[in-house]
Amino acid sequence: MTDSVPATPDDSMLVRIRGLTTVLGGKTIFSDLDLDIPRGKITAIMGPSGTGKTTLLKHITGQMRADAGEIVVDGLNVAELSREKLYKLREGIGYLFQNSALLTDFDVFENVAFPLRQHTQLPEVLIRNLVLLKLQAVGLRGAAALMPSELSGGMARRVALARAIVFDPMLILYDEPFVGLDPVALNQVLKLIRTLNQTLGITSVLVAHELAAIRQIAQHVFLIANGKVVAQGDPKTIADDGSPWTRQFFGGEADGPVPFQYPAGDYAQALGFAGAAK
Amino acid sequence: MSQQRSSYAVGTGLFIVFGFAALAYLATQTTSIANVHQGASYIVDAHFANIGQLKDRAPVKIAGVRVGQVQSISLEPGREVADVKLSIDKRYDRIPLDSVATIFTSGLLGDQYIGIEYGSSKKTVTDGGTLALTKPAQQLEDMLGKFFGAGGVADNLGGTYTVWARFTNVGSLSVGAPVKMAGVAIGSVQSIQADPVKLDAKVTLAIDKRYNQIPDDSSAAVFTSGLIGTQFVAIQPGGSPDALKNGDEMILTQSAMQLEDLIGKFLVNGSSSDSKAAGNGKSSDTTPGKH
Amino acid sequence: MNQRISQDNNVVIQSLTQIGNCGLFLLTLLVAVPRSLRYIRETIRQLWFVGAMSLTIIMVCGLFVGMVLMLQLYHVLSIFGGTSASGMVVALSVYRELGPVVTALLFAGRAGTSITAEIGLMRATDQIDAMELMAVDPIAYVATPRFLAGLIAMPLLTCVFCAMAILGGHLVGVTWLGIDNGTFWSNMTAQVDLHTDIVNGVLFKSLAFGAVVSLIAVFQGFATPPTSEGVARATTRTVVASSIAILALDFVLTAFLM
Repeated sequence: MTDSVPATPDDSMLVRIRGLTTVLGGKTIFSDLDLDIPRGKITAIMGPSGTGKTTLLKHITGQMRADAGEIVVDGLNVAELSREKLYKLREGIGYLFQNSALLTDFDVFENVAFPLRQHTQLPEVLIRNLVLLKLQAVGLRGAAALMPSELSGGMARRVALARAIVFDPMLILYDEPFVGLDPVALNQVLKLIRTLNQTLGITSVLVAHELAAIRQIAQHVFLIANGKVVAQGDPKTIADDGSPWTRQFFGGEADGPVPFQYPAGDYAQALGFAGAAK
Repeated sequence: MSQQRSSYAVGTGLFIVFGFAALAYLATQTTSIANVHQGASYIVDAHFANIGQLKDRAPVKIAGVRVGQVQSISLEPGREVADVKLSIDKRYDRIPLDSVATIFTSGLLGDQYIGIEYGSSKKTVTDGGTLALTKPAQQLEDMLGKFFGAGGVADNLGGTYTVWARFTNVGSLSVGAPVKMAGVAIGSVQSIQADPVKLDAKVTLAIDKRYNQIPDDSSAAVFTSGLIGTQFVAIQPGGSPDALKNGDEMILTQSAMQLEDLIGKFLVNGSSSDSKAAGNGKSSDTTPGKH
Repeated sequence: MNQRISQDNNVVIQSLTQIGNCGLFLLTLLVAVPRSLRYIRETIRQLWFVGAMSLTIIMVCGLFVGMVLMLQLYHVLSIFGGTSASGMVVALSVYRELGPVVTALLFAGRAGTSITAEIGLMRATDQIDAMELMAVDPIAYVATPRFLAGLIAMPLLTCVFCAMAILGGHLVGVTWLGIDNGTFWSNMTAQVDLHTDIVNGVLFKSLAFGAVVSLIAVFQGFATPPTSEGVARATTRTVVASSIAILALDFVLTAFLM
């Protein structure tokens, strides 16, 4: 679908982020962040809660504008695109929401068919075949007639995945794909992500916390904290780089560079022992 | 799934059709459009000294039946006369030339319309012709005023004489109510007493001394001023050469009547000259095809 | 004391901000009209939800309004002996005021709230974001079709309401209270004017009310914080703001049109 988008063949990075700075509500989310996402690989982005991993995905899709810096997706600077071009770019990006975000008005079939109906004038027979193909890929062809409210969380996420890949995108962004799934559903989704990456060569970006899952599938890991990339590399080696961030994060320690205490005033004073503190 | 889509479309289509049907119904059946008649018609002129509240498209009726409508109303330049063009259905083309066109009010609060009362002439009006005989609109106030005597405040009375009269029913007449002759207040009610023997009401009237020439066979009646006004005593002069004197009794009296009775009597017949068209009141005030 | 004053100021400023945002939102909606023409099916679907699904309540209420109006008028007019005019008065009051206003209030309660709640929930469950990411403009796909559907549905519903009210008036007046059938209709047709009453009264007013109610409903849906509490409050605000807007606008329109 994105053949028309020019891309330098030697450019091995699908997404290139340079000097990204974002301030939201007075709080600096990113300061001068650089990050590259390689083509055709599964990249995981990790970090403590609240570091803006989802915000980073929104920057890539152009839903949010950065205060400074540039984001280039497939050779296009997202911030400079017109609405039409941005929408054209988004047709080449699949996005899997944490809560699936299926359209509650439509059944499973129509949910998956939705992007096709909106952007193409394909005949009904072809739409039907395409949709059933994608549903078969996620193993839910039999659930085509169900409404989203009748699906379990894992099923809904698989339907959302089928919807995300219906246009055969070049890039899929997974926002916390494993949250709230039982081990069986988690492995199903895991298997799907890997299959999609290996068979179709789709570049995948995962925002997730599940270390075990990421060790299994990710080829590249970024650890973001305090608005910067604090560590990156292959999942097997990144834990051993010796920085306090990776030690705390991969070791699962409660206190460290990520403080246990949310920034607060003097504890004794807050309890009314102001005099005693003096 | 596409079935589901098309059922929405069908339902929505039905809804739109239903809505427009309701609109068409409102527009054609409940508005004056319903009165625009389809058949061929011819135009007749009529000149009125006063058209009152007559409006374009007001009905034209013969014997209470709608035969056409007012097409236009204009003032003739230089003359104090309204030129009203009546559009009358071709089927009723035998209207005598000396017929009288009168502006009536349908019901008490209704709209005005033109009633045509047939004359006796052999000639009939033709397209573009004129109905020479017309009666202007009568204001309801005038009509009631004529009948009851107009309201007014009693003068300051300097010196009065009293007469009395018996009524079988004084309605809601109260002490101090005006006594009127020809619509002008000439005195006031001095007292109202029930007679324990004759079982009627004895009303004493104080009349200004200036009006000492009232014939002794005059009648006294209890009337209502205006539509919902207070009641008063109206004196209608008789023909006797002798005048009423202090302490006399007025023999001829008319008790208070219910407003409904009065108006019914009065309006159903249009006016006293309208005896021919008797019975064209509200109950037969219908349009053909409405039933 | 000072706090209260600043709170009052806040309320005023907040209301003004809301009104301003609402106006800007209307511009966004209108700009999106050409784009939403591709989603004409969605408009039809919404017309089904806001229009056809509101028919029952509109018809029942119209019938009862006509019936009670006739009953009241009959008793008042019988004092003046003018009961024959009651059909006409029912028609005039329904066409000029009650029809558009009551329909709009019912519409705000029935369709407006469901539009707000639906859009609020779509936002809360990321459906709006999902559309955005599927390169479907949520304004053109979600907002404008609902706005247009409300704009189209309101006059039609008002016509149905008025027709039912006339029917209800006829039922009580002619069938029950014994007003002559011919009198009922002829008085009505003599007094009701197509332009002042049907076009200005029914159609124009209801079109304006439809625009206001659906604008407020869609705006509240989009402006609400995407939480369950936010949705609940937005729904309430839709009803309150719509009702005030309808009655205020009714006064202005009546002053201008009569």
